Amino acid sequence: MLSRTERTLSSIILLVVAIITLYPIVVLVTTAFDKVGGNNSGISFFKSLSFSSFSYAWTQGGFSQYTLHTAIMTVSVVVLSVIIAVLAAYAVALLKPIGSRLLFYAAILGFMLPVEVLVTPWFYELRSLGWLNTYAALIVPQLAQSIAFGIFWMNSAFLSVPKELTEASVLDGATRIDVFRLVLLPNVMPAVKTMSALVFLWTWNAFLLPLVLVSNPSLFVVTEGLANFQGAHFNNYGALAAGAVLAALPVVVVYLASQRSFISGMFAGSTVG
Amino acid sequence: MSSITLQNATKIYPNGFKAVEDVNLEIADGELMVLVGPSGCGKTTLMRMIAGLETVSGGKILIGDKDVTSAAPKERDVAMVFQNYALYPHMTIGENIGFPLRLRRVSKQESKAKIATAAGILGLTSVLDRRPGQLSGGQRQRVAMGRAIVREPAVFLMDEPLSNLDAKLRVEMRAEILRIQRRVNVATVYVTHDQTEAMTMGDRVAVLESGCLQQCASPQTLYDEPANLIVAAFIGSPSMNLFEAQLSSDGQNLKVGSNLLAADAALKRTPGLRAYAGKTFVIGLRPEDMALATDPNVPAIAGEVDLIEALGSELLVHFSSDAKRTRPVVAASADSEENLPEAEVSAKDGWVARLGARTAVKPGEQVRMVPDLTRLHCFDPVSGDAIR
Ligand SMILES: Nc1ncnc2c1ncn2[C@@H]1O[C@H](COP(=O)(O)OP(=O)(O)O)[C@@H](O)[C@H]1O
Ligand SMILES: [Mg+2]
Repeated sequence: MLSRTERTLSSIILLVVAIITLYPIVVLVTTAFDKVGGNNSGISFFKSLSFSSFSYAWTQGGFSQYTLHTAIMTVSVVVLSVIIAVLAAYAVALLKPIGSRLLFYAAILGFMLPVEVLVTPWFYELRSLGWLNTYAALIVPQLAQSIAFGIFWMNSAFLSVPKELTEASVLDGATRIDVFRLVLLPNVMPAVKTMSALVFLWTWNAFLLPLVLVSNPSLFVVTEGLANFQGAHFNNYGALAAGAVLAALPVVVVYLASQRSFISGMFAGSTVG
Repeated sequence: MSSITLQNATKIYPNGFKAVEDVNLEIADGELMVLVGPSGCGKTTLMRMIAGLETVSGGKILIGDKDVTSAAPKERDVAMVFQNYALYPHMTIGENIGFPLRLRRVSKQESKAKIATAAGILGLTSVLDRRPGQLSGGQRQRVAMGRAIVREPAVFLMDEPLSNLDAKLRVEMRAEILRIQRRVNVATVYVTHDQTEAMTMGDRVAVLESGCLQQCASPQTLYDEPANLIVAAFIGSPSMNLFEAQLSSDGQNLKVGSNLLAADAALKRTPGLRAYAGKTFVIGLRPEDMALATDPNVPAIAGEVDLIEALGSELLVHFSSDAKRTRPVVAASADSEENLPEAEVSAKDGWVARLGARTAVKPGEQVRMVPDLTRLHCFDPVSGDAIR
């Protein structure tokens, strides 16, 4: 049991942390609701409640296009990486074909290496393929990294399904596909959801790779758009804040929607066999 | 419905460990065969070989007259109840029981009827919509049984199905499993490390030790005529008293420690003993085959009472003599404590006699126990085989 003082003290600490965390967010959101051009001198605090900054950022600021590009990139990466990683991890964890261990260690290396290390090779690689400034440049490198992470993540999920479950279903008459579809997949679903959410967040927030690989503004993603926007509208705080809110909104929505499976999946995935 | 035949079944694991060696066993259609032995003796391995979950390194396995040695599990029509039940956590109880039917593309209607029947037999009707996580251990056990019987398999395998239940429930489920086995009436292999469970449930009991089949017989035969020291020590609780003894060269006397007993009754029961005249061998006496001497002149085994366990209906009297105790060499297993017959856990390296509840004995008292030599078991000290 915590004593009274301990409880009070921890409440105070939590409150301070919460204020430090929330202050910039509150400032950002309130600033975003300013009128366009209504504030050129700095940050405001609930001066008005206007959507004009949002519509300015969305249309003139080009955020509608940025969001579209980001959505196409993110959805492609999430869908493809989940499909490929789940199948590959199933093979690595349970079928164990020759060379699968090697693939597994390559996968770990693939997502452990910081993106700063990989961005230069990717640049030359994609340039020689003529893929710079295309959707391929946005999708392929991040897909590779997400698959690498997904194999690692789903491998432990598959290993945590008790072996007896698979064996019982085999004795019940299941084919290999039945076992995968009816027994394994439902049992690793929390880990699949967590993986999808994580990959979604990482891909949506990606900055360095798109920055280097896509320099043409007509294919900018939100993070690039925001950086670019900041340069062009450095004194239009309302529009800047609105752009930032627009860029972050999907991430927040996905996080809130998947919060429960996110946290349970973190634990489900962590029981490595 | 069919029988199971094992011919020289052998399993060598990839690491070179020989878990099952040359097992020959035939389980008749409808028979309940209990496979018993201390943990680590290869019971699970043998069962998984029958199911097809483990490859066979040598010998043959037949189900009916079909050689299934290298057949896939699916082709064997075997149902198995796992030690930890292995229920599908994401399916309801009804879906769990109906899973084998779903895989066989049985029509919804038919499968519903079969699930209902199985649930009725097992008393699960009211929980069909719940998930395994919401059930008690005993209920989960029943679900595992339900999933096994619903598709009317050719062969039924159960690996220590009661080991996760508490003692009271275990006794209840024993009777229940027997009832269900009689009802579905298919060849059943039931694995346990508990000799009481084995004795109460098996039509026949096969004793396995270190991967080798020691003896396969009816429970009564195992008890009355154990084939070797391992079976003698394993079957019965408290277990058989096993001590060294010598037969005098003239074949007149049996010497147990410093006690002399008349050998004629033992020789009559075990003619093979004559070959041991002048030699040492091992005698075995069940606790109930001893009585307190009333006449001081009658030949008996003298000793001192160490401990008395009063069970209400009887007394278990532990006493020590100057005779040398023998234990069969049993491969050590990780949790061997658990497998020791109860008597060996208690008191000293002594004898145990089962006496009437009203017998007047006290700890520390000198006693003379008269063995019933018409029920004496004799074993070769080297091979451990019974002398007949
Ligand atoms: N996959 C394996 N590889 C190597 N040895 C194994 C394997 N599985 C079991 N064993 C060994 O085989 C022996 C028999 O195991 P098991 O059949 O599970 O025993 P039981 O069910 O009688 O307790 C044990 O000593 C065990 O350590
Ligand atoms: Mg076992």
